[in-house]
Amino acid sequence: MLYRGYAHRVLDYARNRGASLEEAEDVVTEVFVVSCRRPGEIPGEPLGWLLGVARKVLANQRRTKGRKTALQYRVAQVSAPLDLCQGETDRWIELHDLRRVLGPALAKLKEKDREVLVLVSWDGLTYKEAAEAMGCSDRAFGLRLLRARQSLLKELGGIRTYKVLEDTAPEGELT
Amino acid sequence: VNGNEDKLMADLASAKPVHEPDGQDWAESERAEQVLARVREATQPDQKPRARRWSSPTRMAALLAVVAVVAVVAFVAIYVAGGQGAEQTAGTATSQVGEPSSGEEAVSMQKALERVIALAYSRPGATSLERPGETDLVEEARSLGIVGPDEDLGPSLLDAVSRVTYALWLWRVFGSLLPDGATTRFVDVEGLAEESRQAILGLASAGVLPGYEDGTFRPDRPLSRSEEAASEAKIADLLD
Repeated sequence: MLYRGYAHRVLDYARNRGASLEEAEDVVTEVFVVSCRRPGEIPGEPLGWLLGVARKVLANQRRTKGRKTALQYRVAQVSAPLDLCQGETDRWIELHDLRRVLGPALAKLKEKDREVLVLVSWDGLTYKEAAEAMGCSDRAFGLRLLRARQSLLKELGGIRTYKVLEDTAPEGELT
Repeated sequence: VNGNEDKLMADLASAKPVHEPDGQDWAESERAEQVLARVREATQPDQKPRARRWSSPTRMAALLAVVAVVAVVAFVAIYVAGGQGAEQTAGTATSQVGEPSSGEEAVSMQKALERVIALAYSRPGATSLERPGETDLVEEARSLGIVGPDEDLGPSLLDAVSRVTYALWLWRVFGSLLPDGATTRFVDVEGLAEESRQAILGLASAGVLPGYEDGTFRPDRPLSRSEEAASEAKIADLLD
């Protein structure tokens, strides 16, 4: 069933964009109500389509509640889980620093630039799925992603500055 | 540059926010089932939530349409009922010997006049009167003083005779012969001509043509055949 397979992905999508758990559940409800009423529009790989609907629902929700989109990303405020802290202080500090650096830079991007980056990096969509969620072609999405990465690097102070950050980062996987 | 951008994307993925509960935990929780129930409730056919999706202008337009339809139906119903009422009234006034409102058969002016003329020839002291031969009924009634010289009985003698007209005819023939009875009052005779009012009160007091239990005489009501028969029987009793 569509809900069982993808509801948690829609929930994560909404929460990654600053929605509370209750708000994210409202988004999930709306998305699957829409999917039930328009079954003919759902493609074989539905994730991109579902998140595209979620994006519009979330935008409507925010318009209704008069929220400021600049505050929708709370990356810098999100703490790492406590179990990661125990015995892994260095990695926690590394993640914390990473968020502290990336979060504000991400928040300064244009909404569409931020969205293409986050669809791929946080929501784990393929280019094709992400293109469907954005309502554009794969090629157009590739170009947008390229420009968005450059914009983020610019916000981070350019390649040289980010390279310094990279050099100071510890070895190994961060996740 | 590409290496830096790849590293940037990897770091970005690492900086993904952490939520409690995460999506997988939530999917296995009761909350996910509650959300699913909400979805099912909203997508069941013929449900009220679909109606709630109407915009306010649409709801207002639908409401106005319903009000307009109700108003048109009510107007048509009132119009039809009014037309029928008018037809009924016209029927009472002009139809030939129609049914009185009580459901009894009404008496036509011709029949009533013939009976009153016959009674006039049978009254005491009238035995010497000779009934003329073939003559006009109204003219005969005029000659007997039943109908006044200038009275117009209307276009057709087949119309139902009213109680007040019948009372007037009887009163003109027998008024002076009937005994005075108990004083009678009716609430609906005050606007009538003096002679008509006197005839009604006199006949009612003598018990010839009584009124109704609610204190009315209903002078314009068509005379029924049973009322006519009862009046003739009472007159015969009183004059014997």
